[in-house]
Amino acid sequence: MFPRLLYGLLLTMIVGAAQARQIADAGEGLTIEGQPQRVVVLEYSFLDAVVLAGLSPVGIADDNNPARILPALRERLADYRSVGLRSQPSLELIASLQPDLIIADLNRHQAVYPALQQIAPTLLLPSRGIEYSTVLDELLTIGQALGREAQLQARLAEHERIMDRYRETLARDESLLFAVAGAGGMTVHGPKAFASGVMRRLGLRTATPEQAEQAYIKVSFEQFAYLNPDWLLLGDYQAAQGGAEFFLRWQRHPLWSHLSAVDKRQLRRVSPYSWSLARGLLGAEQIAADLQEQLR
Amino acid sequence: MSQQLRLWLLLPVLLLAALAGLWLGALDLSTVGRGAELILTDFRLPRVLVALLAGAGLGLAGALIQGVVRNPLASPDLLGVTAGAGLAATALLVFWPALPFGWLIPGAMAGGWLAMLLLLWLARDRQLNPARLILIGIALNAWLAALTDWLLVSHPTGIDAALVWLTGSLWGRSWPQLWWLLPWLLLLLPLTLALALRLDLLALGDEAAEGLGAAVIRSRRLALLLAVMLAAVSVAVCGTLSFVGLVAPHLARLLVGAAHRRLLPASAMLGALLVLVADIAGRSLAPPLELPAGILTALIGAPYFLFLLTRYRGW
Repeated sequence: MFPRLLYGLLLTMIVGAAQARQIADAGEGLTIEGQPQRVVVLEYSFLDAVVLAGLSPVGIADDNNPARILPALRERLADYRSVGLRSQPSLELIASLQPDLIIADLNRHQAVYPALQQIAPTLLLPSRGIEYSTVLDELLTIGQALGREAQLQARLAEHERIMDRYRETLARDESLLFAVAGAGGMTVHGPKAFASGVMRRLGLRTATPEQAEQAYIKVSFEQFAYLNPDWLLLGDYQAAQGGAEFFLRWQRHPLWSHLSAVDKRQLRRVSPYSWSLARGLLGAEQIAADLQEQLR
Repeated sequence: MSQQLRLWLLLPVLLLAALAGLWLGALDLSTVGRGAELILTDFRLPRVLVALLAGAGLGLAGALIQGVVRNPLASPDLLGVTAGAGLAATALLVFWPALPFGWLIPGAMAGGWLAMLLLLWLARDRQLNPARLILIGIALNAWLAALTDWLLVSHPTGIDAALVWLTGSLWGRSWPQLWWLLPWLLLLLPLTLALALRLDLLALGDEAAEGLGAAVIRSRRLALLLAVMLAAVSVAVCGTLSFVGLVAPHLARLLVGAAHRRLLPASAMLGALLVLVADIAGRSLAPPLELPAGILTALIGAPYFLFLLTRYRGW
């Protein structure tokens, strides 16, 4: 009786070991088994999937500024250690957290990919400028890496229902534009940007030309006036410092009051952190909720 | 204190800085426990060594170029070498973000060399006249920097890694990068030091040097070539660390005088010291934030350079 139990146990262990999952990513692919518990996340956009899978990361590259994390996400986080800037997370700190999974950004962390792999299995995914549809794909990829795909699939189905509900009340025939203002000027989010994809999902029309290749497009006042959206949703990274300087200048331009959004009093302020940095399900739902409140 | 003694004193200072580099960081190693060895051998030690070698390369390149063009403003940055490497690295990072990082080093080196070939070709008729070299270098530098800016502005989604690279940083540099640097420096350092006497002759002016038996143009071309190779490999590994190639030779001249047999090793050691100190400060001043070393070399380098100018009446 006892040996049989032992054999059974051994068998499940062997089968378990044989079940190491292969997950295709933007790097060399991830080989992992079991459900990782100590996850380090190196970009805001991967945080969403990890939290929705029911985990709280042990380390986050949050630029040492937790205020940049979407509030809906932040309140669900347990204590974590900041591993520094997204552009240069501290390898020492990551290693000292002894993670069993690291999720890194293809563009920012290519330089340390081998080092990260040495610390723990590393999932390498694109982050900056990814489309809404890619965000949803990455959610499931992260779900596979965490061994919690079913949970995320269920949450994704719920997300679709939530977005459908918003869509019914939001759809309209006016053009919208999300743009961020910073020290470098005005950056319009093109059709490929996350926020634009979310707006399309909600049955809304964006003011950017459909053929634009780039997710983020820098524009001058003239180019902006040409886009002339009915609604302008502005995320100002310098709101705390009194607003981006160039935008104050734009407001004194003779053509300013002729812009549709200004004329119709349809300029709205939104959080650039929610609309641009929090590329994930909760971020998309936040955008939908903001729109419902603002487009009234 | 004799100049010779000061040169030798740089060695223990460098050793102390290297030890500090192993000791300081985002974590207090005595509290880490199990992972401490990995952190020491895989993160801090190779990074200290890379900083030393890259800094030495930049310092030497600066001293060589200043010796060749007999102009205190000359540096690898000014001749377009750095900008060429920067343009190549930015293009690679922007167009092929999925390219393994190992490809960046040969790519950036090739960019630096191409910029140098362009410079030599543009200056070909004038026997590498120093003033002309500098003017062409400034124009070339501006043109290459403009191309880099254009890439950055037209591809806003792929630039995060490029921006870090262009600032110059030792973040994540480890053994693979050291193996790139080491053979080049082992080859180039002795060649450079062997050139010291000829550079001293060049400092007397072209005609006097010619009269004393130096092949002026050949020496100049050789020194320039060595400088470019040193700067290109250093920049390729660490990105465009500004001010090192400019400040290190000036500081060295103040300490050990203008004779190249002391000036060259002193420039190498001071360049190494500057980059190492900048990197240690960058990663241990405000943990968990890691600031790129390039910001700190400029932050330390620029005011120090101004101070040097007030001390210094040689030029």
